[in-house]
Amino acid sequence: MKKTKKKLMLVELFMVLLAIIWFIPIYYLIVTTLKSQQEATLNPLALPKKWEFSNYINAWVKMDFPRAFANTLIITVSAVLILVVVGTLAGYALARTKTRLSGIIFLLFLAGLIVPFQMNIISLYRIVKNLGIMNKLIAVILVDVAINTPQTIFLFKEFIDTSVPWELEEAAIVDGCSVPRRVFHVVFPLLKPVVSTTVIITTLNVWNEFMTPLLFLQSRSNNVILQEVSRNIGQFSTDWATMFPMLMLGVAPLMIFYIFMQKYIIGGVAAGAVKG
Amino acid sequence: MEREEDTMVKKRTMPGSLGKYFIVFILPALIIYAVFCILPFIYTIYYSFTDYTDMNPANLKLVGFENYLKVFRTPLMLQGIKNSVIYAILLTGFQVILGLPLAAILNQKLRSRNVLRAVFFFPAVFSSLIVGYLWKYILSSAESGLINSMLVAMGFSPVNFFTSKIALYSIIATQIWQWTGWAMVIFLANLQSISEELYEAARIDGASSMKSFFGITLPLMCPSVKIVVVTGLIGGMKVFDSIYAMTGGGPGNATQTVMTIMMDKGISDGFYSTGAAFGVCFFIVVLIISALVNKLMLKWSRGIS
Amino acid sequence: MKKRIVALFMAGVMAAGMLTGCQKAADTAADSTETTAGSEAASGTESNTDKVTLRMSYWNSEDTVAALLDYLAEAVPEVEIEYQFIDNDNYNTVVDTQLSAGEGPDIICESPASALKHAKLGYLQPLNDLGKLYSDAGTNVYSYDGSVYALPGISWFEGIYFNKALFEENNIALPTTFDEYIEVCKEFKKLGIKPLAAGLMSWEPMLKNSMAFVTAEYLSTDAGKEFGSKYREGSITMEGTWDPYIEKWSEMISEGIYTSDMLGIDHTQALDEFATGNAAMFCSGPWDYEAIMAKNPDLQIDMMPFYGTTASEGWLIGGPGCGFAVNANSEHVDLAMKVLEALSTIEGQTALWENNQGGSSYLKGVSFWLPEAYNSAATALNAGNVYCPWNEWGEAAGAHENYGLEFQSYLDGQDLKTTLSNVDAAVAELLSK
Repeated sequence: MKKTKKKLMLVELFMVLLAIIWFIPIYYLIVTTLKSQQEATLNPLALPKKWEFSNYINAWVKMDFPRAFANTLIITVSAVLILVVVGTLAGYALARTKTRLSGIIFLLFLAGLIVPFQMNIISLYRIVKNLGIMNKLIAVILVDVAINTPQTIFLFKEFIDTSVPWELEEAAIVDGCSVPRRVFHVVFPLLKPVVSTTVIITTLNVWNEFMTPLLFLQSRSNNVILQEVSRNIGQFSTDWATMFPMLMLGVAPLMIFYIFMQKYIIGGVAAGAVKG
Repeated sequence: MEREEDTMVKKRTMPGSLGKYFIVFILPALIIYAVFCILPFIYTIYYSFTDYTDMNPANLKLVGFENYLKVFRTPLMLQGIKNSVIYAILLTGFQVILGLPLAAILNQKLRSRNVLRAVFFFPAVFSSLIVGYLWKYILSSAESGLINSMLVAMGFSPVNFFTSKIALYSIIATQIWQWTGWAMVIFLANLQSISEELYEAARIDGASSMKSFFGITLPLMCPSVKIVVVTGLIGGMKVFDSIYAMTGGGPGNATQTVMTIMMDKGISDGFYSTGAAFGVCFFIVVLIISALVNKLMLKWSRGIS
Repeated sequence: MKKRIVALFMAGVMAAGMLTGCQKAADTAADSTETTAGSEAASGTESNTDKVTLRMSYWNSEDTVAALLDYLAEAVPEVEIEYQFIDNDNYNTVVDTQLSAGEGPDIICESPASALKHAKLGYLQPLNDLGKLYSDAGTNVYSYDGSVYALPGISWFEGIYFNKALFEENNIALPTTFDEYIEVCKEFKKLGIKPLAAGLMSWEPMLKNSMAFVTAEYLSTDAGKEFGSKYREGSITMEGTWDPYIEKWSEMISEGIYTSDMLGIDHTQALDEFATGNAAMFCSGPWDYEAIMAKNPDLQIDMMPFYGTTASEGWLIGGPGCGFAVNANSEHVDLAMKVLEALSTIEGQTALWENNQGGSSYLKGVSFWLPEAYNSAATALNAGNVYCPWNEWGEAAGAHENYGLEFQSYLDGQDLKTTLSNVDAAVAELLSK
């Protein structure tokens, strides 16, 4: 037993070292934001001698952070909300109806897991244009919802199939409950695990999605955070004092989200993936 | 991963007719999905047989397989597919090779395992675009590049990570850094579902931990490996953000992938119909890869049982 | 655990709701910071309801037109110009999309290739009356079917900036031919000084450098004069015509002046190298002058032209600057025309020149002095030796990017024949559209 314990200690030491190495790029990003460019070049990994938070103010203004953040948040929250509602309804309908039609529809959704939406960007582009929603946040919201629909519906249907007992609904039927009441009062409260999985996975997906905003949002007032970062990097790439804080602001919202919700995010990703 | 006791419920009355509610419930999802996924798919196939360009946006003529021939005659497009395939295979391969042992170790009773798990997963919550920009600074061949300045300080000569020959591999390396933790988390979830008793029995039989890893763990990891491989390969084929951030497809065309070409040729340069045909080819490649993986995985799980 | 997630989710929903509520306020606040940041008169975006906002898009940052915007605010008081910077990589895509949807900026900065395309598709307003005020050399690249569709801005040109002190201290004379230029570079190398800083991560430096040589050797000669027009018609290819010249030019690579290491350096890093005195030369133009001087105000710089193998005044790569065009679908075509009218005056050109010093105006009767930083390029400029080969390629002009990309591959070992025929293929593809 002692020997295995010692071995375990060694393994742990090795893993901690590896984790430190793994963390260096993130550490580098953070410390560089607080230094002058000269200091960053001379001692790249040292802690800053003088903490320069003024870099952040400059970056904040240049990338118009509040607006970019608001756009990103609106897109993400709307898309996630729509996905939860649409996923609940469709997942429930598909789980509780075993007809040929429902089977075909389910397969149609499943096919979306393999078909990369990116192959269709040219026609998607034209459709968005013809719908008159080009350069509007709603375009990105709807397309992001569509891309994430297959996985969401799959998660909801599987969950209802396996973890929501039909008996509960039977009891509700006996009480004379209508279908919508059953869904919202009996089934939905039981869906918390799958709702949280969906919220986490789709939040990460939509927040980090770069191609759909790049395609569908042209004017700066509608740009998301990632567009602001890439727009500015073209202008200030050698101005470290501006660029590094900008990169940091670009990842900061999800970084904070992750630091506080780390356990649930990891759990959500694992749950979503193993089921998918 | 969720509690499985509830699963055992016997379904006595088949939940049958939702009546009109079936359509009402399914419709919102179906409409969005149809308009933004199915319809574009159909249009893509249609456009791929026309002469649609930015200079010819209306009055489309059918031109047969001309666009497909053009795809096969354009070395750049073939190279883009090749680069995407290399990217997908290497990234996925390393995710599995590094992620599996990482997960196996973190499944042991280490005091710091929660922290370790959080650190390894950390990069996966970031956008690939910003990770790309960050690594572009780190790998820069200017004196200020982090890795090159360290190499020089240690007495080595600096390395240019973005030459035609190695730029693609440099990008893949950064993405391995980003996504290994993601694979690890999925493997870990799978590992935790393997019953402790199996290991107990093996230990009694005197099997070493190595032996039980290959004898018990690996075979039962089939589901998670399949997920990581399938999503990794399909996701890898679609790579865009990290390339866009780090090289923009260059130098020359050395790191062009399917999606960078699609954006350049298909969207910016206005070769819409060729882009559509290229998209269909891309889809076929993805289909072939998925089919191959499924077949291999089936063999694996059969071979074990 | 689940409760926490749901709570967080609800908080997010509420936050978003609040944000949508204050979206309007946030927008105007953001707008006003943007305008104050720029030098435009930011007085009362809200109160002045009689002002009409016109959008103007351009791929250079706002400070390259700051003086012009100031001037326009005074000259056309009824208009407020909202400047839209769109970076070069996405410029065409973004503008094309907006135009094809019947929207887009009211005043558009166009390159010759995009102007041609947009004119063909009917997105642009003809500007014949204003066009007459400019010389043909400026307007012919922006003409289609007998009409002028964009007014040429201050010309741009690219030559070789050099660090005067480094040349003088080391007793190195300025070259007058390509071979002498190579010798100069070798001497600097011997002294341990990097001869030429180049950010080859971008496809532009080698494009311009090699094309300048081909211009001096071939395109400017009787034999090569027709190349551009023939190329545009698809009756000649680059492969088979340019090979001997590029082969000679390749001494830039074989002598180690351009190295594949430079593929890992971007333009601004190279600019830094030059500005800090770590490299003797740097190929660029007036648009980088201020950035160089901001990095190192003590630097003494001058510009020399590119040379061919025989002695000449030398050549610069360049042509009419961005063309100012009016969106035919704009709701305020009349006001946009008014803005362009103001631009087509001595004052307007002066304001535009202010941030592009060194270039010349195509407006008839307007000429500017040449700043000191371009002394050694003066003979070439005065001889009119400024030429942009791809401006002649018509619809295939966009293929100059392919040319630059192929040259990156060429530097990294791709053979010349493949390099040039790939450019030909890209040109043919564009012409077939």
